[in-house]
Amino acid sequence: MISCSGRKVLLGEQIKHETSALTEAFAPDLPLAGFTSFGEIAPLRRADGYTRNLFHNMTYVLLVIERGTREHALSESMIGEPPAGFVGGRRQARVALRDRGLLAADCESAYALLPDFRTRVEGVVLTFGSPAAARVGPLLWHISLSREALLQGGEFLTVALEAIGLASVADDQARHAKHAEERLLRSDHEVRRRDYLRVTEALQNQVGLVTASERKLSAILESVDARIYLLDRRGATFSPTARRVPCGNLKWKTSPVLAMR
Amino acid sequence: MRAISSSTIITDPYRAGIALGESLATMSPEVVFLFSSIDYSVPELLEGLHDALDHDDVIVVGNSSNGFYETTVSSDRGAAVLGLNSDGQVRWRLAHAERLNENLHDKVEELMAMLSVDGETPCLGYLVSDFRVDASRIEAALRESVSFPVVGGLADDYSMQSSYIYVNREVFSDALVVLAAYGDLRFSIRVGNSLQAIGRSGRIDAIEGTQLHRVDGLNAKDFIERETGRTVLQTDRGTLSLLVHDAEVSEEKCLRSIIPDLLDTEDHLVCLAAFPEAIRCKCVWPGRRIWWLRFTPLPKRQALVERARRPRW
Repeated sequence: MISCSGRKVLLGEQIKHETSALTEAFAPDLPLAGFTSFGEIAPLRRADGYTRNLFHNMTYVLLVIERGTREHALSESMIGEPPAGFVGGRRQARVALRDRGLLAADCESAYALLPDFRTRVEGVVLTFGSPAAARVGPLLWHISLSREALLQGGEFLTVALEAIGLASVADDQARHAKHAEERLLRSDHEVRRRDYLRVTEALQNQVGLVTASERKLSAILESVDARIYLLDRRGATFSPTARRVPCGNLKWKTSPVLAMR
Repeated sequence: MRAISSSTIITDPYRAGIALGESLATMSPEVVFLFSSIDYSVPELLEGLHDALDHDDVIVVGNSSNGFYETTVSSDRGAAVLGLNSDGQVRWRLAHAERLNENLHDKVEELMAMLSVDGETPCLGYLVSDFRVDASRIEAALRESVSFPVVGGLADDYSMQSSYIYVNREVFSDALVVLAAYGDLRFSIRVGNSLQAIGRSGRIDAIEGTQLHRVDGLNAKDFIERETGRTVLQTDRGTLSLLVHDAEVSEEKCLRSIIPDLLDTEDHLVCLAAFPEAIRCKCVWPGRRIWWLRFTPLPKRQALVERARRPRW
């Protein structure tokens, strides 16, 4: 599905309807993906097929393909089970960022795998040595253990990696929240201010025009009031300013009622 | 056709790619549609996806944009994939063109010719482009040179500058990619917007590219003000659109939105894409329930999901 960004602006918190309308109609686990667009391309349906391909705005385009079995849904946390061992691989960046264990001769060689190793790798760098722990990145710790402690460190690693996994999820959520806040803060504040001024100016102009019209009308009425004559039911003319009469006696037809001399 | 979709909000691009790829790995997809937000380092996202799929023949097509949708997710940040596997019933072919500002029309024609080699015309095309050319030029090229239904869109990042197109392992800008499907693909296309047309229809008197100058003898802003009863505002971005229709081809209608940031320049209005002169337009306005799109699956006999057939143009 492709949905215009204009719809996204208007829908606001209701944006989930863009997908829920489909999952409610078809199936809760309908495999579905799409993006926010600035223009949509699709033919329109007609009785005998489709029209020519058209470019649209503010539109929602849906392509339905014969449904298959949905096998798996959401991606899982990147931090899986604790390392069962050390793993090598032909893609070293992948090993460093994703796989569960990395054997490195020293920390510097591990850091050399990625230019931004310290900020992107999440986990624990384990070395032999005197017991010590240091945080070397947002979610990366360098822990030094004695050989004996390390051999017994399976449970420790499990707990540490689970904690880091949770911290990673929390970190992602915090980034999203910050992004949403930034978006909210910058979202059209200035544009709305200008629109407010524009509407205010338009309203002031309208008020000015109405006021001017009212003044002009008053002036006209003042000048012609004495010259307006009404017809009574018998067709006789009289001036309302000269003699007050009950309204019921007047003949309320447009053209003959008001006669201006 | 088997399908799996998944999404992630992992911020690290490589990890996000890995997560998405792993979610599809069990089905060995033939095609993967990838949609990501614009803040990813996209080469790494693609690298992660391919590393996890670990299948050189997989076709990846997609784009970055201002947001993505997945089964239960609508998000500004993150990425989603949809993997398809037809078990060989559908054949796929991918082609792309770059530097669209140079000879766009010729490039689209060449691209479509590439997709129709061996005398076989695709039954369906999926097209995506970043918004660096006037989209109506793409539409014009499609109208003239494409004889099969094409569905897709233009990636958006509000600035029209930082969306990218994904073609397998590569990332492009100022590009257009088409994924063509051949064979036994059953599909249906629906287009909707739930907007209400209001006011009277006006004849377009003067338009220059994407700049709409005069409608019904009035300048464009005044026409809209006359028909809607209110002045055009910058916050009408995406809200205010024109329903463009041609009395001679009544079945073909489309909307053109106004770009409000440029409203202050002149009396004309700038639209998101050009449209031909000598046709008519009407203002459209979102109802109170713009979201009120409803989808009702029809019984199979009524062929909601129908066998692809060559449309009559």
